[in-house]
Amino acid sequence: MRKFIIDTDTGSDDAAAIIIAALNRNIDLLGVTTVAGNVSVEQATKNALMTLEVCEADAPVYIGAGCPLLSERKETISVHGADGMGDCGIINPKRSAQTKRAVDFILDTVSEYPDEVELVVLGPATNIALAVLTDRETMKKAKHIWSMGTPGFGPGNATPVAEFNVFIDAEAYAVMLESGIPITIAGFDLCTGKTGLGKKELAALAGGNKIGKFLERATSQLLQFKLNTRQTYMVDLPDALAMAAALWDGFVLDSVNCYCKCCTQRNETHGQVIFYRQDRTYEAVSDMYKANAEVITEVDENLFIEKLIQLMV
Amino acid sequence: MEQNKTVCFNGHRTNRLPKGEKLKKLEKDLNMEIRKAISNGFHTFLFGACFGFDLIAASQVLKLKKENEICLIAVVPFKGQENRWGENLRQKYKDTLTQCDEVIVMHEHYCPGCYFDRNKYMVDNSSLIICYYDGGNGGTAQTVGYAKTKIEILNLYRQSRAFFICRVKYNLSLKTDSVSSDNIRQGVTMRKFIIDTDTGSDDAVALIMAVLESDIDVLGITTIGGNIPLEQTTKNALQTVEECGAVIPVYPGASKPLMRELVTADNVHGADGMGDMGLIHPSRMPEKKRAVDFILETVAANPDEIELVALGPVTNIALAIMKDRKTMKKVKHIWSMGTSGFGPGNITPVAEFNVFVDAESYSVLLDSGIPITIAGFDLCLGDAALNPDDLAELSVSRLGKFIVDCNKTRLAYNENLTGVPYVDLPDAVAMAAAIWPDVVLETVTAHCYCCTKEVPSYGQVIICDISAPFSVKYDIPETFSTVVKKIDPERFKKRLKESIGMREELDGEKVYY
Repeated sequence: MRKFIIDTDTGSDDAAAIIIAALNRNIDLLGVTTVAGNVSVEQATKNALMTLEVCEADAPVYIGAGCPLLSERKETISVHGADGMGDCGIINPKRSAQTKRAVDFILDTVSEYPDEVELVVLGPATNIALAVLTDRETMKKAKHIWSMGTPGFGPGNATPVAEFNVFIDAEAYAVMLESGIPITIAGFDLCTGKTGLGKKELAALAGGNKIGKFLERATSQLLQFKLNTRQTYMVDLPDALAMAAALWDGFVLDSVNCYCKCCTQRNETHGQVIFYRQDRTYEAVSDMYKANAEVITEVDENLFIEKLIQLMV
Repeated sequence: MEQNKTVCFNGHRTNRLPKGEKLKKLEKDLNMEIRKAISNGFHTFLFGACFGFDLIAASQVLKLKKENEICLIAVVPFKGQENRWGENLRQKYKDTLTQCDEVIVMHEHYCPGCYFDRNKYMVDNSSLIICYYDGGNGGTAQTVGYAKTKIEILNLYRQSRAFFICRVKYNLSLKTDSVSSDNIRQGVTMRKFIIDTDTGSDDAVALIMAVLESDIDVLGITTIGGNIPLEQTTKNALQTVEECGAVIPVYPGASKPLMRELVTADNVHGADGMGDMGLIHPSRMPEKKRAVDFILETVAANPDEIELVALGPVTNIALAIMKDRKTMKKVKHIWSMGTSGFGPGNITPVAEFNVFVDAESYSVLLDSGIPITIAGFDLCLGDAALNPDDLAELSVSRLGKFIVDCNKTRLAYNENLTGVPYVDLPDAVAMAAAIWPDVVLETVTAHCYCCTKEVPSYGQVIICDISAPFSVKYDIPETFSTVVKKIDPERFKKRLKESIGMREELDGEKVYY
């Protein structure tokens, strides 16, 4: 059985991803590590515990970094709600988190199961970077990283050129890219109209099982944000797409190997990831950049919606 | 031929002549003036034998030949000039020539300058020129310029303008300017352009588009190193202007970017930047004046009128701004081919060539406060690029063939890279945004920031759409540009073909330039 650790800043789309993993009988979900991002690490931890509870999964939760590597907090707009889960009062977990710290859990687990552990990174990569910086040799034994991060080949959402997860901790993302661990990136550009949950899908969730109802409530503030800013009745779930890429055969249709350079200078490009595609030549760039990630370019949108709804009705 | 008894005719081609009732009026005016000339002792009439005013004048002379002892002489620029014309026009031309008393052919084959040789011959052998000249650039401008101080000039355009002025009293939507003898204007104001270019193959297309457009007055062309070095871009600009039969001064500019070594793209455009087809042999020389001085002087002399079209790295424009910011604030508009628009870069993952060559200059441009419209590289791909069928259609006309030939290297480069043969014309799209606004479907107002500080992002222009929602609190500075987001590719190609290739006339005749 494939072994997974999920690292998350549990907002509503993280919750969808956790649900996909928690309900999957073919994987061993070894644990969930939390990080500050969408919300504080304390809130992210509560949200993760609650999501697992709703799925009746008993994977342990480990509290991680409360702020980015360089401690600087960026001012963000809360798109998921103040509690990161729709502000509907649905977060009241009975369980508690573990006392061991997230980074120690990650290092211990990768050590214990060399070349087996797959990390699904759904928020800022602070915990992963800390693990790499603490013990690079051990982390080289991680099997694969599935990253929800970067805008892919589209425009940014945090800034014109940066996606939220990377922007919050660009230094951490750069460390992760240089770690030597095989990485697959699901960028925000995969959130097209067809991978989002529209009126029909959200209604199905609301009328579905307790998991479906939970997710529909959790995404209610996100829906409002989309309605206010883009006048579309739709909820994007980029983290769920990253999870689908990891777990569902046939979901990823095409990808390209790239050398990915994360910009960390504190200027207009902060958090931008520049992709040097291996299938292109750039006249002003010599070919000396070696690919460090596989970036997903095409997915089966129908498969995603079908399989996701199936879990919740 | 007795010079003092000879009249010559010269005027615009059909696209710059009036239509319908106004055309009939022009024909009547011509008839009247020819009668006047005959009664004043003139008996020999020379005409330039092109379609448009020349043939119209000739047919009036032929009408009067029936009752008068006069002779009509055709002065043809080169043998077989009618071969590229439509069937009907060719026939009309042949019919007219058979009725001429003499046909003088200036050259066996087309060569640059053959039109000027014809015009010069006619003026040198006449004492009166009856012309139709609207004040804009072109072959007629050249002839009238040559004829001034030598012989008498009678411009029938001025006469039909009187007709126009009467109408103005009852139609306030018409714009008029005061009539001066040196710069006669139409009822519609001519736009004043300066084109700054690193004339490679797609710049050439854009230049031709502007020169052929009847309400654009290209005051001058400034050149910059870019696609190929400065000396070559200057030669290419001169040759392109000559191909149009136009006379436009070319001012060489900066040979190097502000702070870097020049990066070129001869692998895309050819070593001569124009397909390496032996097309480049201009007969005119560039001006001695520097590009920056020409720009500043022209803007100062024409405040709030000059539109700059920037088709290459913008070093010249940045230098002008840095030299005299106050004057440059009087530039009416900048039309820029630059940035990757809303798509990926071409020379690096995030940068487009023109900006990459001199990002510091582009940054100066963006911060200058001059109104700017940006057409990014993303617009010229896909359906807007010329496919082999489009190229074949264009090749039918002389100018069309010139454009296809000069883009030969570009075609091969694209086919090599992608497997698909196509010619993408980013400069032509940028020019279209300036002169054919119906080609533009959507624009956004954005704050644009040009990255100059680090290697991976150098030359990237971040387009910050002010209407886009960002999940991070992002203060957008308040200098804005207009960025073209979407064009109509079919309309763009149709307009291009009509302008440079075939052109359908009102009476259904197809005309080729």
